[in-house]
Amino acid sequence: MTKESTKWIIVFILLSASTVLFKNHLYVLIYASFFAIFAMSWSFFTSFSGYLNLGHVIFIGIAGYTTAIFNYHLNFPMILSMPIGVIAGAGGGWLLLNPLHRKISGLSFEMVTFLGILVLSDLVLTSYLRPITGADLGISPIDSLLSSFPLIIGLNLFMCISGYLFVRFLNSKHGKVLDFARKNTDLVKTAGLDPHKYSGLCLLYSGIVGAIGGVLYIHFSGSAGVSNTFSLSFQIHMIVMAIIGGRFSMFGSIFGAYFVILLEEYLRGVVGGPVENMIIYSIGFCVYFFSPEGLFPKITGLKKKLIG
Amino acid sequence: MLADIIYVIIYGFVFASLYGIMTVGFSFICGLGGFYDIALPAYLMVGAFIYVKLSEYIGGWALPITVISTGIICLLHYLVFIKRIREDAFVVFFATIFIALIIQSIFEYFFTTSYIYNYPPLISGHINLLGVKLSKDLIVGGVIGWIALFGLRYMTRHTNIGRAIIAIPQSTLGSRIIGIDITRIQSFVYFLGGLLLGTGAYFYGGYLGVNSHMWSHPLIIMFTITVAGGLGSIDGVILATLLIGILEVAVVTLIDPRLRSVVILMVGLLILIFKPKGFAGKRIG
Repeated sequence: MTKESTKWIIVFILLSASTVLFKNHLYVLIYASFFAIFAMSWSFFTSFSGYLNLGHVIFIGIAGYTTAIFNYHLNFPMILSMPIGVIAGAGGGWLLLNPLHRKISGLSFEMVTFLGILVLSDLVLTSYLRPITGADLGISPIDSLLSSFPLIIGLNLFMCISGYLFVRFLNSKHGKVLDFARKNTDLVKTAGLDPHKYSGLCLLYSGIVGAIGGVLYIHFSGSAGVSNTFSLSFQIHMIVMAIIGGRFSMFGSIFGAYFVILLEEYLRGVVGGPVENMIIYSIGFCVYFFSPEGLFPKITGLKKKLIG
Repeated sequence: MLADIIYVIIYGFVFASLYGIMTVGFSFICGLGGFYDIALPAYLMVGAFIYVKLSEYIGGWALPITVISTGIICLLHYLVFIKRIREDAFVVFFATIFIALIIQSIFEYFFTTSYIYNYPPLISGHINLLGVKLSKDLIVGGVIGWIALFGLRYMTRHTNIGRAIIAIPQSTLGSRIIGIDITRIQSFVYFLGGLLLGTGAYFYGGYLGVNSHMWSHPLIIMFTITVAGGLGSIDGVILATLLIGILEVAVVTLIDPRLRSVVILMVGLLILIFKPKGFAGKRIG
């Protein structure tokens, strides 16, 4: 057993143990796990390919709406509609974003993906598509995944396996080329390699995990609407988590998601919505402004200093 | 049909000038720094709220105070935040998203999320232009907008500071070598951009109402015009602002008001993909 796999097994055991300890807050922990999956899959492509993808919700949105449409309009059972959603989400999102990342880079890619999700959310909301997407009302009710121990154990298992595979990819030959391409694209091209092939692969893996998380999240929510699929605030939410935790580490994204969701849950009982957002965004800003690497690397660095 | 076309052209010109006032500072700032400052549309909202609250007490005198305060706020924003992180476009992008969201949350707390504030125009009444009814206040806004745009065009061609604004995006290193103080120029552009945002805030807020989410549509408009025009290009901004202004009014009048944002976003998206340097052939970064 490698050191990396041992780490992920420990994370899985810790997260599963927390569900037993805090069984009264199962619903909150499930949300945290969902967002950990989203933040980690976003961070995997964005942090390691050098392309800032503000349209990761495209994978989640296409997957979520597809499973909801098949389940609600065509009466497919959830067990069939979910794989269709994953294929549509991962495939459709990849077909949209892969050619774009080949054609444009830097801030232009960032802005295209940013505008892309605004276009998609506006399109979904137009009344022309109301018979299919339900416009502002969304698609509801669809078959639901209940808040339960098997669900959170399954989610944590999926999260840890995905995280482990992401790290394996980054440590592989493909990951090394990706790392070189991020630092010096021309160097990789001179070596006769196509850097976009590797970043495209990274995008696909990120999209598959995002799409699987997306279909599960939609069925857990019991409805598909813009707010839990294509919305900008949904995208920003997962970015905030990855940034607070540390976007260059898979564990950082998981830490960030749990930190933000638990803090939001605490603040909800103490202050109102705008103040809650203000505090979360202020923490995000302070972390990014003063410590762009995030909290998790800081904490592990501090631990190393103290323990030696 | 002819009446609709006249309506689209007249209102298109008026809106184009308002969008021009809002965008030209954003375009210069992005062109100079090689980054996108997402917080600027949020300062448009701040300006509009300053006017809403001040005008309750001092009436029309609130306008110059709004304009100057927005200029000072933008200058402080640059000196406190952006100056420290301006070398990394990604850091600026994320940090300014956070700033915009924090501002939005503060205004949601104090002014609620749903209430729309309206205020009477400083110049009341309407005129009839070729059968199209236009508010006098909006016409004044349009005229101020076009004067500001062509004034800035003159400044960039005939003054040293204007030439520096154009020179820096071409070569930051070259500009430093010939002795241009980039921090001073950027501070000036932030202040100028803030003055224009404050002016735009009054007209934009007066026409569409003021609320705590009003910065998102101007963000789309400002970004699309900047991308279409080419960064830091005043001629590009004038051309793009006309295109977007007329297109927006045409979509609302002739097709469907609900498609207003989608069409503008699609234009921005297509330009970014197929003509990333915009009309003026300049690109960020």
